[in-house]
Amino acid sequence: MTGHRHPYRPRIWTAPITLAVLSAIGLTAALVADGAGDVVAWLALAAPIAVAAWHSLR
Amino acid sequence: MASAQSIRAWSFVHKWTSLIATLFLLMLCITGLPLIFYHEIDHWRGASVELPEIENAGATASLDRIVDTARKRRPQDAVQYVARDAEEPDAWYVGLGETADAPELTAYYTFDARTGELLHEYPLNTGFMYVLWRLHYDMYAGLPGTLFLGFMGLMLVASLVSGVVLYGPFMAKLSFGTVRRERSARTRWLDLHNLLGIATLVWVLVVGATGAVNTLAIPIFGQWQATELAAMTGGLGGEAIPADEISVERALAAAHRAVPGSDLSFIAFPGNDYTSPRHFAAFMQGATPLTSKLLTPVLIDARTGDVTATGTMPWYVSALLLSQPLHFGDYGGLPLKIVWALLDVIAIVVLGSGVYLWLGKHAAPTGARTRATDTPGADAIGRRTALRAALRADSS
Repeated sequence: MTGHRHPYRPRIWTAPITLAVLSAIGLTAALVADGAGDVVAWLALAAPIAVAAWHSLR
Repeated sequence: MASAQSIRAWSFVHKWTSLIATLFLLMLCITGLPLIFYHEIDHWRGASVELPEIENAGATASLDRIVDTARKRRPQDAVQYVARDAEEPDAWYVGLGETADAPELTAYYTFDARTGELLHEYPLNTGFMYVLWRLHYDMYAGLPGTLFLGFMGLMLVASLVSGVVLYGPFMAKLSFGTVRRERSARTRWLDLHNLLGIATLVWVLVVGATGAVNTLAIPIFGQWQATELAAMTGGLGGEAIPADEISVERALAAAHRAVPGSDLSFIAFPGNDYTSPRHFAAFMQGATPLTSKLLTPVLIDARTGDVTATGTMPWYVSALLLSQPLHFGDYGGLPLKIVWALLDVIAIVVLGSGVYLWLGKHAAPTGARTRATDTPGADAIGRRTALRAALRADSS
């Protein structure tokens, strides 16, 4: 998209992609499984909240 | 780096989609926050009831008698449907309207499925939560209001996509999570806007997109009624409801035999929009977490009690049905609702900071001046947004 002619550092996207994947797992887990699926959903979707809180409030 | 031209184009998309939608999105986020806990708040304010403890917990009351009780309470009305909730298996819910196909309910009763006792009548169209829900659903403007909010959902998606594109060049010289506290308030809020926006991106995208799909519920069901349902019922619209209508219990038993291992979601009575004047339509849900969100319609002849058709829902109805839990966050217990609420609060901060950053540019030239000292060589940029200034500084 925008990265071809710029010396992009791939690590710009490491954290965003990790949080995106965790969010997607969280949104799906409780939809396909009860019990363990619910717990996975809580934890995975808590990750973006924790990261946002940590960097905003520290 | 991405050409200055493409950054300008994406900034333009980000700015305008956000500007158009932000007020409505803020309203949706704020009204949506208590709506996440609709069920809990209803219980708390006494608008719905807990089922009482009874001695003979395994008993089953006659559904026909329950429906009779409902009819006797409102003899002028017609039963529209009887529903079940997998979370509350000991309750039957009976919805009545002025006619079987009236768009609004006149009563919604909760019965104890074990004793047949009427437990509760839901207070329809009243109360604070109803006001919040109407604002969130259609702003009291009917289908046009709903579709308008769906369009705002699409603006949100465009705003998120353009925001992600701009995030890359913006972060070229910053490490993830940087909040430049030593700089101006404007820079600090810009960093927070970017951090909170990128962290919650997928959740906001999914809740926004599924919200937009939900705004199409009426057209989606309309399409299904006009095509697939019409084909299943043989196009028997407009005929009188048979006087010798079989009992709903018998219709339900036939539906269970037709789709073994399923649970009832709701059964529409003859004449309702979800069936024909001469059929019951039972909507069955699967037993697994995923299939419990989907529906299988079963048509039962109201004269003979025979199952005349069993269908599957087309993809667009299934997409709508799956969009509902993903928008409401009601599919993983109370902890998931709390997570939903926290993410919603973060989304409010992202929206609010977006407004602040835009307002600051117009209302307070000091903001732009402070910004200029943050980004050397940016003086020429003058009144452009801080984001664009930052991007320009990065590309020079």
